[in-house]
Order: sequence, then structure tokens, then C-alpha cells
Amino acid sequence: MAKADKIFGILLMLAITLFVFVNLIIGEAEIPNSAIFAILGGDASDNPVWPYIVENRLHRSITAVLAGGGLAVSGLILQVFFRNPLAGPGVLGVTSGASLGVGVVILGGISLSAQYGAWLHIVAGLIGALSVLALLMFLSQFIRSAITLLVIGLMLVFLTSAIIDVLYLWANETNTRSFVVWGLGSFEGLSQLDLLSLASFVIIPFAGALFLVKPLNALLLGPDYAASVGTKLKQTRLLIICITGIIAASITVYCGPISFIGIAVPQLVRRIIRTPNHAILLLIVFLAGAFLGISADLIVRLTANLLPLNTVTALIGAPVIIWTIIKLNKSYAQV
Amino acid sequence: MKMIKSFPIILSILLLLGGCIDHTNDQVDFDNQGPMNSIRTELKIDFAQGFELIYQDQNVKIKTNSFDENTVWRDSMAVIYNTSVENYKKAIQPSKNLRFACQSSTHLSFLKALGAEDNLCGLCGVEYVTNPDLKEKIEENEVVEICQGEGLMQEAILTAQPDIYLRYPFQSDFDPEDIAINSLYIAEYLEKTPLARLEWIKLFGVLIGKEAEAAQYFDDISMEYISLKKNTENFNQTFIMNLPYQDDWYMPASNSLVVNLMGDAGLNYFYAADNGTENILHPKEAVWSDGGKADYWIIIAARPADFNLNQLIAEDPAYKTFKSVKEKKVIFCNTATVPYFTTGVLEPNVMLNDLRFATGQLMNHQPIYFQLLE
Amino acid sequence: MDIQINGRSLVRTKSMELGSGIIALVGSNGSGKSTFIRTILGRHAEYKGEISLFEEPIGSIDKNELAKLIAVVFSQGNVFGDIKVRNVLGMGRLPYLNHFAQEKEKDIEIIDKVVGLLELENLLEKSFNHLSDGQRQLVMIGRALVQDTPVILLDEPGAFLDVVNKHKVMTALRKIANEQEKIILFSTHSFTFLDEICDRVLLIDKGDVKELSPSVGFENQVLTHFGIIE
Repeated sequence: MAKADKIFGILLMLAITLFVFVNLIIGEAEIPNSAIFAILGGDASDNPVWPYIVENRLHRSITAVLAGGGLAVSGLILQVFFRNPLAGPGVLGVTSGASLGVGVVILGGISLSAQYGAWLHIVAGLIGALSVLALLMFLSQFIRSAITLLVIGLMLVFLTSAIIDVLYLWANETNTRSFVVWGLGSFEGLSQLDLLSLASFVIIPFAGALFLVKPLNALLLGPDYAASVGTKLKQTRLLIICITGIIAASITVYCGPISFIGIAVPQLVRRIIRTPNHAILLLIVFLAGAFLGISADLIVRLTANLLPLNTVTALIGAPVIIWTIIKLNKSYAQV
Repeated sequence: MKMIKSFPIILSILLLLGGCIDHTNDQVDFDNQGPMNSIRTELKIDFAQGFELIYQDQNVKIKTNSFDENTVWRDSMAVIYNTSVENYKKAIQPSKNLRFACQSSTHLSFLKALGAEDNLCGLCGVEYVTNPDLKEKIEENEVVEICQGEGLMQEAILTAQPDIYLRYPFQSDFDPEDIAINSLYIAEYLEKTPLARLEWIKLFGVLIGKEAEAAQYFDDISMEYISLKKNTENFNQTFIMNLPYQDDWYMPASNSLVVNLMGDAGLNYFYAADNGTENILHPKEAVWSDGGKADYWIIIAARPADFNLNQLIAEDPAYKTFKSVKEKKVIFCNTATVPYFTTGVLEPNVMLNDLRFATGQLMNHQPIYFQLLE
Repeated sequence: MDIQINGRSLVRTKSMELGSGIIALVGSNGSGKSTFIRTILGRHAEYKGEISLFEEPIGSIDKNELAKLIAVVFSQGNVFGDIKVRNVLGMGRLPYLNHFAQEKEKDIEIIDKVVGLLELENLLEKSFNHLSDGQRQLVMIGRALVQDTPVILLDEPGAFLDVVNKHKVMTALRKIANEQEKIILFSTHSFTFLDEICDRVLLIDKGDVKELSPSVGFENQVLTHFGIIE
């Protein structure tokens, strides 16, 4: 690893740790820092509600780190695979499938706060995502080129959107608002169990991305050259669909559809890190995405929830994308 | 001497017997009070701010309007007794058989209290109806669905052929008057007190020519409500309301109907200091931190029928630290099983008693709307 | 072999053996040159007959092992992103690297040798996409060389190059053939530099692959075949 890349990676890790701590300390409920560290250390606290508040903040922070990192990595993989810097985790339609599943539950009238409401919407979201995933994996066998897969994914996005529109038409005002608010994205409210399953759905596929390092490196030259250096294209495609699909779908189900992180972070990192070796890129992109995630959550909490998560990620992400696209005209080859 | 001693007893017995005289014959026979071509009773509006009755000649004009800064709207309907309807821009002739279409099931409850539910010909949200008689009418197409989601459907309402369509002032569709259907904005929900909201029954009474009945209904209930209210003046315990959604905890504004209802039951709002007419918003952890110290916690929400305190705590273990949860002083109204939005509007006295019973100010009562969560 | 497309016979050859040296496969556009090359690579499956490398039928060789035996150069190279020439060359080592794609000493040695052979020193730190077409093809040949395979296939490597750059590319191939024992097979629709560069020339004549005689000039035979000279 080049020295500069190593330093950058370490800086990111430090920044993430710092921001997580800040996120634990600040908040509407004033808790003295000493009490926070005591609670983290496992001691009891004078005020019985403080441990719950600290735990809530900790869960949010971990969610932000996992979600930001996971989305960024998914975006990176898909951008290389489709040779398109605008590709994001949602491009295959798996996140739309998750949204549709959740939409059926919420717009269909089962409130998120009802007894099994929260659990039900997670299950429905996963079913929606897995259905799309299964469809993609099935179709992948008959597809020869990446462009075909991209078009299929985009059509699935439109299709699920159309179905959700029908649900909107028949839903009442309360449920509509509930679903809209869900769509604004949030790292809030994951229980320990939720956090554990989100972590599994993000970290395990991320570890599996180890097997994508060589294929992704090879794919930088395009599928023909990649095949000539030994990349098994069909297998690689299936693995990519699986890994990005599971990561993106689980994040969508637990946090709502989060935009911009998956597109902006890989582009930013590839401008800063010079090596095209995905062994390093995947790691650094995860860290950068995690950093963006925790920063966004910090900003959301600093504005006392006035700005929804997706607005913050857009405000950070859109300028990055615009800047990169302008550079794109100068550097990138035709794809 | 013996006669004099027993005299008070005999007198009391006579008086008691006299008090038990059947008064049913004294009830005014509204149905046979003469032809529908004159106003029988001029009604006074004491509490409600959202509507007015203006009496002119033999007719009455109903005016409904907004009265706080958040929205601005107005509407009116003339109720004509002795001239032709054509002389007025918006007018109906009162009739016990007036065909109604309603956007809201709450409005339907007002009509039901006046015995006019058979006049319904169209409703929004037919699939949410639980009442078996009404369901039957729907199946036989005597009452039809007139909305899709939140919007009014032209063909459907034309099929229903109502004489008047009662709606909320936020439905942003075409004007029913454009297809020759009379409509009137009814905004009872904007009132700030339960009695003001109940007083709208007088408006419905005017529409169907049953003003005296409506006035009687209102007087009975409001008198009871006001006297019950006096009993709670010294109670003074604090309360918070509702549940959070993700990180946001919304509660009603301090001058809102439900908060005033609680106030009438002797409960003081924990967030009374937050001024304004909009809902109050606090981040969840702020409410955990200070709101958790309130004596009572009132929750009005939809839950499964057997919802209990443990299930509430399961929704978020932080609730265990709330004073109200520890002392089992969580008062719950299950909107999924109880007609809080419909019949409840017509019975604020029952709601008040439910609250007095739940807070230990009343013994021996069978609660309908609000109950302590076990 | 009989290479077919959709049931129709495209290119037919008699049994033949290709040994080390530079072999040109000449044919007009659409004659099946690219399909021929893709068949050898294992990317076109519709054919009768057999292709084997070192006694092993091509179809039975594992993809990664095949990558250590055959390297390819296509007519154009595009890389996604702002990648340096040095990194593009490094991609030739992928079949030999571990899962982390770490370059070991040996890999670096081989790359340095190729850089020296093809005189690519000045280009190493440049962004690949900023190079001219001719420079890019040279780098892609370097990358194929880095792959250290006994066989290098080139599918119309000069298709988008002007005469000067074509010559540079051909000269580089000759240099490689002189220094190392490799089978270098390239397809082309032009006849230039055949005599100077090639050891053997195969011509696709109405679907039949004919070997041109080395005693008479290759270029003349090609021109005669296409009816340009008598």
C-alpha cells in the first residue's frame, strides 16, 4: 500500500471514532461527559433514563457507520462493473424492491409503531428485496452484456415505483405521510437485534467482496480483457448482484432509502487514492462512506431533526458528484 | 304527636313518588310540530367558534369559517323555509329526508345522534365501516363510496345524488357546486374544547329541521360536563401525550381540544409552557429525559385489542424509567377498537368520566374510551 | 476445424500446428478473423474440430490457467478511471496474484523488463486515457507481455492506428519474437509490413484458411489474392 493511502485510511478511522464520540456526547438531553463514559464503561448512573439515551445514541452511530460504509462499497462495485460513474446501489432495483415491500405494509395501513408493525415492515422489505435479487440472478444467466443488466435494473426501479404510486392513491393521509417520512431516511431506532442483523448483512457480504478484488481490478479494462486475464464473468456478475444486493437491501429496510452516499463517495475516493487496486479501494471506500454516514447523522442531530437524513446526504453528495462529473469530461475514457 | 312525627316521612314519600312521575308525555313531539315552513327555535351558539347561525325572515344562514391563523377559509349554506331555493347561491330546504353524503364518519355520528343516519347516501372510506347496519346498506348500494384515497370522485358522487355533501375544508379537489351538488365545509375538529366541538350538533339540527332536538342534546350533555368539570378543579397532576415516530415525538399544542379535555379532568399539561397553535415537537431523548417525569401518560393510538403495559414497554425499554409507567398511570385509548373519532365526539361527558375514573377521582364507572393500561 | 455461426460455416482449416514466431491471419472485413481468435480464446463455442495447447484441449483448461497461457490484445484499450500506465501494465500479472492482488518481487521484475524492452519508461506515470492511440496499443502489448504467456493473440491491433504507429507496433512484436519464444498470432485486414515482420501468413480465402508460401513475398501474394495486382 502506498504510504499516502495508508495515512488517508488511518485518518479516516480516527475521524470516524471522533465523530462517533461527538455523536454520543451531544444531544437534546444534557448528559455530562463523565456520566457518558461511565455508562459506556458499564457503570450504573444516577439518572435511570441516561443509559437508554446513551444506548440510543450509540445504536444510531453504529447504524450510520455501517450504512454509510455499506452503501459506498456497493456503489463502488457497481460503478466499476457498469463502467458508469453515476451508478449507485439502487441501480439494480434491489433497494426499490425493499421500498416496495415496506410500502405495502405502511401504505396498506399497518402502522410502524403497532405491535408487530416494525418487525413486519422489515420482513416485508426483505421479501421485496430478495424477490428482485432472485429475479436478477435468474435473468443473469441469459444475459451477455452488462448494459442489459443495467437496463433491466432500471426498469425494475420504474416498475416498483409505479406499483407504489397505486398504493399511494388508495392510502389515507396518515399512512401516506408515514411512508413519506420513512422515505426521508433515518439511522434512528434500531434495537440491538436489528443492529446485529444489519451488521451481519453488511459485514459478511463485505468480507465476501474479497473475492471480487481481482475481478474488479480486471474489469477496469472492460469485460473482454477481464476474461482474458482469467476472470469468470458469469460468476463475477452473480457475486456482484448478491453482494451489492444484500448490503443495499438491508440498509434500505432498516434505514429507508438513502441517496447520494453510494454514488458520491466512490468517486471522491478514487480521485484521492491513486491505486486502482480494489483490495485497498474497497477498504478505504468503506471507511469514507462510514465517515460520511456518521457526519450526516451528526448534522441531522445538530439541527434537532429539522433536516431529514436524505437532505443532508444530498447537500454533501450532490456538489461532490457535480465536481467529479466536470473532471470526468477531462479524464475518463469513453465507456 | 305520632302523626306529626310521621308527617315528614309521608311528605318525603309523597315527594319521592311525585318525583317519579313519568315525564315522557312532557317531551316535545318534534315530528308533529306543524309544517316545515317556519323556524321553530332560534338557536344560540355559546361555545363554538367555527360556525354561525344567522336568522333572517323565516330563513337561517349557516356560516362556517376558520378562526385561527393557520388556515383561512369560509363557507355558507342557506336553509330556506318559505321561498324558492333558486333565489340563493347555495341553499337547501330542510327536510328529515335530506340526502347526505359525508366525507367524515364523525359527521355521520352527529347525524346518528339526531336519528338521521338513514339519510346517508354516500361516504368516504366505506371499507373502514364496522357498524353492521351501515355495512348492510353499503352492500345493498344504498350507501356508496364517493372518494378515492383523499379525493372526491365525480361520477361516484353524482350517482349517490345527495342533497348536500358535508366535507372538511382541506380537500383540494374540484368544487362540487360545479356539478350542481351543494356542499358545506364542516370543521368541528378545529374547535379547542370538547363542548365547542359538540355544539356543532346544532348545525346538523338546522340542516334537517331538528333544531330543538339538537339543542336539547347539547344542553343535557354540556350541563353534565360542566358540573363534572367542577369536581376536578383541585386535582393538579401533570401529563404527557402520545408516542414517538422514529426520533420525533409530536404532542398536541397546549391550546388544543384534547389537552383542554385533559385539563377539564384536572390534568395539567407537562409542556404547557410551549406556546403556539401547532403541534409540539421534541426529539425523543428530550422527552425521555424530562417528559418521563410527568405523573400521567395519555396515549391515543391504534393497537391490537389486548394491548397491555408490558407490550408498551416492549416497544421501547426506555419507558421503564417513566414515572407514569412505574406507577402504572398510563391512560390508553385504543382507536382501533373504540369509536373515539365518531361516537366519542358526541359524548365528551363519558370521556371526562373515563378520565376521572382512571385518575381515581371517580369510583364505580365502566370506562368506554380511556382506560388505565394494565 | 470448421468454425460456424448460427449453423453456417464461417472459417475452415485443415489440421495445422502453430509454433513460435509471428503468424499473421489476413482476411477482408467479415471474413471471420475475430471469430477465429475468439474461438481460440474459448469465447466462441460453435465449431467442429479441436484446438489444443500443449496437448490439452482448450475447452478443458481452467480459465485462470488459460490466462497464464494465452494473453490478448484487442484493437482498442479503454480503462475506467484515471489510471496510470504503470497500473495498466500491472494488470497483466493478475492471473498470478493472490486474492489481494499484491505484486511480489517477481511480478515487479517482469514488469520492469517489459518496460525496458518496449521503452515505456517515459509513459509510466502518465494517465492511460491521455495517451495517443499508438501509445495505448503499445502499452496493451506490454501488458500482454507482462502476462508472461507462451501465446499472445492480437485481434486487429493496428485497426485504429496510422501507418507510423502500426509500424511501431509491428516492430515491437518482432522484437519480442526475436528475444522470446512465443506464438504471436495477429489478425489484420491490411497487407503492410507482412514481409518485414511475419514468419508465417495465413489467408482466409472464401472461408478456407490457406497458408502462404514464405518463398515468394507475402504482400504480393495477398495483393494478388485480392485482385489488386496480377
